[in-house]
This record gives sequence, C-alpha cells and structure tokens, in this order.
Amino acid sequence: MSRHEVNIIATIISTALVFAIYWVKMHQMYQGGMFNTADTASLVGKAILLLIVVQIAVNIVIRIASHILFYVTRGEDEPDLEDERDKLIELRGLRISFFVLSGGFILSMIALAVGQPIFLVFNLIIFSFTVGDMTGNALKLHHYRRGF
Amino acid sequence: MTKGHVSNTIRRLRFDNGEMTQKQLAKEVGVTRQTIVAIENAKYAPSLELAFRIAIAFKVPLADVFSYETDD
Repeated sequence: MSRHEVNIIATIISTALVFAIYWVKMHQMYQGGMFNTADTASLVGKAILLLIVVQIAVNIVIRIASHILFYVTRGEDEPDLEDERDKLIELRGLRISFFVLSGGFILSMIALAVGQPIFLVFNLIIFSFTVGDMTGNALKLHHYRRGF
Repeated sequence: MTKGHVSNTIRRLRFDNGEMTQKQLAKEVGVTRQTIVAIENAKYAPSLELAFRIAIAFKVPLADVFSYETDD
C-alpha cells in the first residue's frame, strides 16, 4: 500500500468519525429544542464553522500520524512526489465529489423550497459535502488499488 | 470503436539493463515507484511524454517498450 493510499484511508476514517460526532451533537441539540428559536440560522452557522475547523485539525493530526506510521513500518523513504497518475486519480476523485455535492445541494434547495426548516437544509448541504468527499476518496482508493 | 489495451516490456527491459529496479527507473523518469508498478501490471497507461521518457531511459525505440493490442 502506497503513501497516498494510506492517506486516503486515514482521511476517510477521520471524516466519518468527525461527522458522526457532529451528527450526534446536532441531534442532541435538536431534541433539546435549541433549533426552535429565532437564532436558529446563527446557531447552525456556528456549529458548521466549528465542524470545519475540527475536521481540518483532525485531518492534519491523522495524516501526520499515518505518515509516521507508514515510514516506521515500511522503513521506505518514498519521495514526496505527485506524478501524472496521482494527478489524474485526484481529478477523477474531485469530479465524482463534485457530482455528489451538486446532487446534495439540489436536494437541499428542494427541501428549502417545500418549506423545510433551515436546520435541515444546512445539514443536508453539510451531509452532501461529507458524502461527496468520502465518495471521491473511495474512488481514488479504487483507482490506486485496481487501476483504470 | 474497438477497445484495446497498452502492453509493455518494461520488466524484461529492466532486467536486461543491469537488473534495474523499479525504484531506479521511477527516479530516472520522474514518477513514483507505484506508477512504474501500475504500468508494468497494465493497470495504468502512461502519457505519451512518460512513455517516451521510459523508452529513452532504456535507449530503445518507443515501439520496443509499448504496444497496443485490440481486444477483438
């Protein structure tokens, strides 16, 4: 397994973990009636910003840890190089992520149009970001393992 | 449109060139070792530029390294 594959797996795991914790917290707050006030939009915005910051921080920590683990276990000094194959796989991953994200965004706009609460609309957008990111990473992993 | 795939003789050429390792070839042509592995196993078809760099590394014509076979 290459360094890129290890990074992708670490990213998928960290994204799933952080998002799961986010959803549990949001559900608890929703059940507690915190999103039935006039400040709902502001509260959702703050929660999403916190999610983004935490996601970035966790991603950095896990990638550093996976790098260290990779070099310790493999003992291989792999050059830090992104060649044409890496760039092509990255582009394909981005493309599928974009499609999933676009689909999720359209769904959230439909939800908004039919009068669903802001809480649901914004979390649909966040959910589509997360699923899009994980789908893109899964496709990249598939290409690294199986080829084109 | 007829489908096909790109095959290569990189593994044989490496052995014929002083048992060059995949890592050495990768360094010479400017890619990762995993890309050379993928090319050898026909899991990745290199760009034209990379194909030429590989042929130059072995000092042979391009057609001696890569060939295109149709599936019919």
